[in-house]
Amino acid sequence: MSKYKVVLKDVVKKFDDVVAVDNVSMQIEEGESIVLLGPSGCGKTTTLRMIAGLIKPTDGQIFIEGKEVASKDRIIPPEKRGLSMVFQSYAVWPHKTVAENIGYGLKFKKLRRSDIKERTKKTLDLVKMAELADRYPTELSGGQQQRVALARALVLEPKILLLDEPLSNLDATLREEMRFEVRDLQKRLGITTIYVTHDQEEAMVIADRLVVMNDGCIEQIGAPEEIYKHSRTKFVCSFIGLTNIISAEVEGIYPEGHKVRMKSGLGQDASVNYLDWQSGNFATGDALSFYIRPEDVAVSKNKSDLSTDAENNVFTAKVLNCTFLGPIYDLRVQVGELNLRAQTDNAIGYEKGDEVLVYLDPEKCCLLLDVACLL
Amino acid sequence: MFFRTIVNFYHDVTREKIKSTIMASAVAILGLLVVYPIGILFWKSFLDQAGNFTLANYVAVFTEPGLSVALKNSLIVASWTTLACAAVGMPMAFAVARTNMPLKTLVTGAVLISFVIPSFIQAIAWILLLGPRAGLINVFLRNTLHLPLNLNIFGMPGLVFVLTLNFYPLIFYGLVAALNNMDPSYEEAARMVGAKSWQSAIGISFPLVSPALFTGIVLVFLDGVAAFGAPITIGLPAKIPVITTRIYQLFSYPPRYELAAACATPIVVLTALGLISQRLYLGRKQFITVTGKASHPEPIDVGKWKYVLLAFCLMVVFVAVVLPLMVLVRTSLTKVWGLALTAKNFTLANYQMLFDPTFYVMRSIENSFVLGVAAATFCVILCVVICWMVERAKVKGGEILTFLSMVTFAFPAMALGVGILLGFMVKPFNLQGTLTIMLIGYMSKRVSYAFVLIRNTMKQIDPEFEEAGRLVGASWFRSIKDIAIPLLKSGLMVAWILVFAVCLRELSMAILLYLPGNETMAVSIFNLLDDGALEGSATVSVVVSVMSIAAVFGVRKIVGKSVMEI
Repeated sequence: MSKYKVVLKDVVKKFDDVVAVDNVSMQIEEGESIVLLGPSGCGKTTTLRMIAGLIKPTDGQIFIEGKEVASKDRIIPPEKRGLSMVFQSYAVWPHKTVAENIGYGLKFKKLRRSDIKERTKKTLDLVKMAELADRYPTELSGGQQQRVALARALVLEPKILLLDEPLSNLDATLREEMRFEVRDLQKRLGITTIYVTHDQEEAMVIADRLVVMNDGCIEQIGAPEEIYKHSRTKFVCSFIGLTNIISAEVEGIYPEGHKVRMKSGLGQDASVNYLDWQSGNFATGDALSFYIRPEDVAVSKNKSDLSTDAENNVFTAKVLNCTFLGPIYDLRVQVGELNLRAQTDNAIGYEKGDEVLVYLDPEKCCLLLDVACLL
Repeated sequence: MFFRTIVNFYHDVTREKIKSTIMASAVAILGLLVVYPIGILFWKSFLDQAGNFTLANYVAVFTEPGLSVALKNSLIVASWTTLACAAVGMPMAFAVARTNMPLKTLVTGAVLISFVIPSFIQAIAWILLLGPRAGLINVFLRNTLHLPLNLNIFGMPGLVFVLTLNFYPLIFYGLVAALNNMDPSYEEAARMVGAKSWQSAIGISFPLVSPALFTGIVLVFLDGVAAFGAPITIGLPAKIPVITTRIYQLFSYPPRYELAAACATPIVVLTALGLISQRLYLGRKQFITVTGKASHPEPIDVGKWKYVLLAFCLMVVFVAVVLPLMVLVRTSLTKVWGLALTAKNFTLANYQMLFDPTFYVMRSIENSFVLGVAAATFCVILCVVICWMVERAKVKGGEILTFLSMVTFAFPAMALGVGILLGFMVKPFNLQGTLTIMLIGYMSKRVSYAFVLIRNTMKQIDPEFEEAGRLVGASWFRSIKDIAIPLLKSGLMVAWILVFAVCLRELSMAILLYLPGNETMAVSIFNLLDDGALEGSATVSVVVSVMSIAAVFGVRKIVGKSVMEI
């Protein structure tokens, strides 16, 4: 038995000549919550539907619990894979009541009628829908239909739960609430989950590990925090959260501190952190970029307020714009020839044209290499 | 364990096999219904009676006096009918869609009824009303009003008149739908720059819906060329042969099948040309502004003109619906239709005739029902499978399947009937004169109706419903049975009823394909008329009309909108 619950090996999907999924591989462990994240058209839903068995891969293999379920010439139909799925449109059958929707799948498990009833009721309790069991879907709100769709998937006690943008049709408040509910259920039931979304906040809540996809392939796999702090590619760091990407040139490499000195439009050289896997993959003179998140850009009028005594990475700048957003101020500052975005809680009274100091913590400046997709 | 795996694998394979067998049979049946007869039609048109290749048939179509005159007449009749339909349909559509004219619902419903009454029944009604001597209107003009007038339905104007009453709804409904679906902000914008409401309607809306008008005109013209019912009942006695009646005559003894096939070709070519020109025209007019918006523009207040428009609409409705139905009912209750409807002349015998087992009329009603039920049922089943292949499985060649399923929609019934007869009277089918060949013909023509309706319904149903079924453990077959079919139910019912209803009134194919013993209602109407039994003919006409009207209003109940909008 493989230790992985789901394995994708070099999976390719072409629609006619268009490559929707390009050589995707991943391993998913038991009980893990995986989120496929990316913009629309990145291949995340196609990947999910191949795992579900709704479409057939053009190439590569998919294994569920060590058993091959799809390859170029053999495919196990969805109903034989022991998966459940929650659909973007909910697909709650309008001609069946809530209880009938949930009980339908149990019929194929050859259960006794009384068992079906009992399991249906238990699941309805789980999603807090018990009193609506005899309603028809058209009488339910979007959020309630969502719960029915979830219950219909969970009642089968599936080995693996697939969710295809399940919250995208809900309004913002409900969406935020349901995120935590779904995550809570997933943890409570310990169910292996593959979740597709384009909403990065949602992804952060749901995921043990994120799979960031772009243009049919995987750009990075990792825990949400790791991906946010150490984005592997330009795409990843700009898709996950706000960011400042600065094009620069490597001036010097300092292996002892894992630092590079980079020359850019900022006016003076900046010291930038690099990671183990990056070392050796670049050289002095390379044109590369680095990024820093807006909340890591420290802004102050007095040097003493900046939490540093280093001379490195302190720049003089001019305020272009300062917007109050409630918990924070959103600033645009001009540093050298470049515009940076900063978010800080102490920018009271800053106005356009003010002279300020900007500190880019070298630990938070991350080097970006021009790397290909993960294979 | 190993054994279990093998058994499971075997099950997977057989299931896939059932699915692919079902799909392959559907394609084969479609081929037999559509490709084969059309192919035979063209092939035979290039053969002489000995089976050798020849172009003589085509030469004959354009040179043999009887045929070339018929072709010319067809074009003349269709052209006049198109003009007349536009003249009637356009103002009515404008009045209903854009003005504050009262009684709009009544007018719309009545137009639907006039569309449903088959043209040969409309023709019979007008023979009863405007027959040269005994026609009831003529009698009224002569005896009551003492006018020296004698209107004669048997002539070119009469033929065009009857066809117009039958086809003007095509223009009316097309325009009403386009005007209703049009984004009202275009008109509103015109109002904002200073146009009066009627100016914006004429200057902005009408040009914007001109593609719909064009489509309507093409349809009327093609239907005019392909029409058979009115030309055979009015045109033939008036010595105005058209191409469809000529084809019919070529089948009487001694039959000249190859020439008939060649005669059908010009109708098909015209149809193709018409549809291509419509495509080209629509392709250029990319500004079509049909949006799904429910908001309609404010109706235009036309002041006193609304009564003028209403009077016009009511007059059309009276002439196209009330008068013909009244005269048919009246005639069906008389012993001798030419005499006044007095107590002495009143009888229910004509209705008793419908239930007389020794007379062929009863048999024809049974045959019509059997054919209608069978054709509707088979068409619906076939189209569920084909639509599923096209819409859900997205099989390769889906466009070809779509084309094949729809091609007979525009294919003239008379021409298709010739193909069916030529294709299935020969070995290994030998079906001439059987109900089966009629069923094949009906299905071939009407599969397109079922296909369009079922595909549209299927498009509106999210495929995720079925996929969700698969994910909770239902097989392909179960997901279709438990989820797709129940969700499609109203669409399937509508398709069934419509196919059933149009089969009940089918004349041109029935008359080519029937032999004594398997008459249908339409054939009975025609034969009774031919025998001079106008009372009996009117009685069966009443039955067909009532059932057709019931069918469309039943459909309207099911879907909550009129048939033309589906």
